Amino acid sequence: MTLPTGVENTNLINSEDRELLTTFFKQRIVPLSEDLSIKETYAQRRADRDSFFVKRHSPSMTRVEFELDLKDRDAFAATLETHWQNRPLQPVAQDLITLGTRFEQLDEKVDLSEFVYEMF
Amino acid sequence: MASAKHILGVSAFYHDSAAALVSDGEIIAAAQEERFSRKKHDPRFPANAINYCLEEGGIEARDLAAVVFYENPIKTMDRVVQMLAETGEAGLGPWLEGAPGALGTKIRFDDLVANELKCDVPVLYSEHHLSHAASTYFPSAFEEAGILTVDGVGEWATTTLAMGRGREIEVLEEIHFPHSLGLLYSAFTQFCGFRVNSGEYKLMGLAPYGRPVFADIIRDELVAIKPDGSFALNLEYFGFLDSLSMTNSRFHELLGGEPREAESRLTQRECDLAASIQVVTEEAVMKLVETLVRTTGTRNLCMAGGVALNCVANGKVIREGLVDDIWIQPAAGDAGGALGAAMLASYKYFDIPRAPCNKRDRQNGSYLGAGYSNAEVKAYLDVNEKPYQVLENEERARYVAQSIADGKIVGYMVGRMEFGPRSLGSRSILGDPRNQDTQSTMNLKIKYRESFRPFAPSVLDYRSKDYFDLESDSPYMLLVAPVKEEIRLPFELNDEEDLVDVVNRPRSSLPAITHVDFSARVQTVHEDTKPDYFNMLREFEKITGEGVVVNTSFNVRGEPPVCSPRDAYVCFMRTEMDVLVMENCILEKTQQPAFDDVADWRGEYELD
Repeated sequence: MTLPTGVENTNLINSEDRELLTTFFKQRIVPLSEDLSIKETYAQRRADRDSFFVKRHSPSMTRVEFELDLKDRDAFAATLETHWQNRPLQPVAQDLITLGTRFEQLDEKVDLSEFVYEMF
Repeated sequence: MASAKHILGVSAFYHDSAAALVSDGEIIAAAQEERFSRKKHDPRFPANAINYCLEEGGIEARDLAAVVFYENPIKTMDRVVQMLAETGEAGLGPWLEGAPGALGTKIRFDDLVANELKCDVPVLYSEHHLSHAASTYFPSAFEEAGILTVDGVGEWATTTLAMGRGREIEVLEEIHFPHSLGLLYSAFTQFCGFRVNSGEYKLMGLAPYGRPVFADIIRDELVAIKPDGSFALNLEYFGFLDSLSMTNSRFHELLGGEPREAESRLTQRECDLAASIQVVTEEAVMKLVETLVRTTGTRNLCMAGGVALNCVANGKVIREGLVDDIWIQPAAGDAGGALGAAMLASYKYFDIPRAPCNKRDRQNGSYLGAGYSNAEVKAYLDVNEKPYQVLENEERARYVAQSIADGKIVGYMVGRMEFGPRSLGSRSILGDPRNQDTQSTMNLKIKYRESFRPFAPSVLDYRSKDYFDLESDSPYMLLVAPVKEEIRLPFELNDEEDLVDVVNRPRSSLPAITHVDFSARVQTVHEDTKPDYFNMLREFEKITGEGVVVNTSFNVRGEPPVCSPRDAYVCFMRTEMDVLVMENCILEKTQQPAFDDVADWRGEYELD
């Protein structure tokens, strides 16, 4: 499958899945861009700041932070929803994870893409 | 007596999946999945590596106190979806490529563990950069150290400055995605025609052939680096948010043309690009280290993350005197995250005391992988009717040393496999550094790889200063140091000259390990961590007067380093190696039966 970028998609999904993903992306994710897009330009960022460092919410992990409840898809969705509480992404959580049920049996990728750093 | 707390760390799904077993804070075993699956950088759930770790520890899955994943999938999902939303319509390509994996396998870690281990073991989650930080600080001998982790990306962090004290790690500063030194380096890697996430090492090796003529353009246009080392990328030039390429057309225009086609002829432009991004990377790393030292007040430094494999930058940090002592996790990339996650959980979750270290470090020379007994090697050779002789340890050391001194190339598989990308004398191909032809022979007839790439020296620890300007030990081949003036030969780089001609001109009395800038990527060999290798080097010293050999990983291009006797034998027969050593069994190529290699083995391994 060739993507709009001209690069081969290494995930072998069928056209129906591709359509579903495309629809979800356009209807649920793209509309959030107005709320989430960064308005600051590179030039502003470069000029306005003395440092690009950011602080963590806490300096290390607490014991409870090791214990994520991700035992199944429902638990994952609930944990994600909690993480996104009061943020524009919150309404997306359940449907996003439900969408993933279609790809549960997809074989794990054997190869890394040679074009882009694997960051998804 | 209370039973030991066995913690299994796992990294998977991105780069170099791995497993590590830590028992009561002590590292028992660690291995990458690629060594077993024979798929380089294998990102899949590391079922084979897990099985190996349990076997090495002599335990069953039900004995585990926990399995710890090296990052937090919720925070990763947060970053992925947030960035896609910020990117808008243009993010469709990356979404279609990444979503099936991100929503399928990558959120099923609990499930995969249950399926694989077939018992109910608690699953815990660490964080990517904390795992890296833990992977370098906890195995080090330091009781207090500054910690720098730099890579492509974890959840959000791409860089962290932290402080390690006792069994605590405190993160002080972070830099967040999409601003990433690792991704910047990977962008140049792809632009120069090498594979992302495996070609970075080649780019570093190419840099000494070039001049940093693009460095100002990079500083002015691509990345802003503040005096404290923090940085921001100018995203107008990068494609990784809205395409399946690291760079975009603006990047290409800025740097004077289209990307180099993979496997096409390397030109001076690629050499200059490599030199330029190397210089800028070093500047950023140096400033980050300065800030870390200033902030923490300690002059002990620990490093991890993929960028910590940039041994040229690492060497500069120590040479410039920014710190007094440095320890770098040999599995600095994501594989090491498995070890870090297990150690972090041991100390932070299970409150296991961190025992004082009375050795060089707690990493055991990084010989943490699978080993094979003489009985296992003999069984393989006997069943397959391969002729061999058996030599006891001392005799073996003499035999190998004499073979190398005679100009032979030796495959050397003795002891437990290394954890991390560098071969350190357990899965190594060895040659004579004095021989002018060694580099090209090993590159073209053994490794089948680009001839510009230099080889590394393994040197007796007490002879290191005879050859290199290196004040510290470098047991993990993670520091580049200048070759001593005394052994250099007159040599100048000429822009017009072909790379192959340049490579073939000697630079020192040890031409095979001296790069064109008179540098070498040094491994110091120590009797306490690798006695067999140390003794072989001693024998080589007795024969030749030199306490140094060429050491490269035991594989061909695109293949993971060999793991088992079968892997080693097959690699030996497919290449022009002369001698194979597997534990105490010695095989001569001339005595081997014709090798019936019906497979098109060069197609078996994708070029890296």
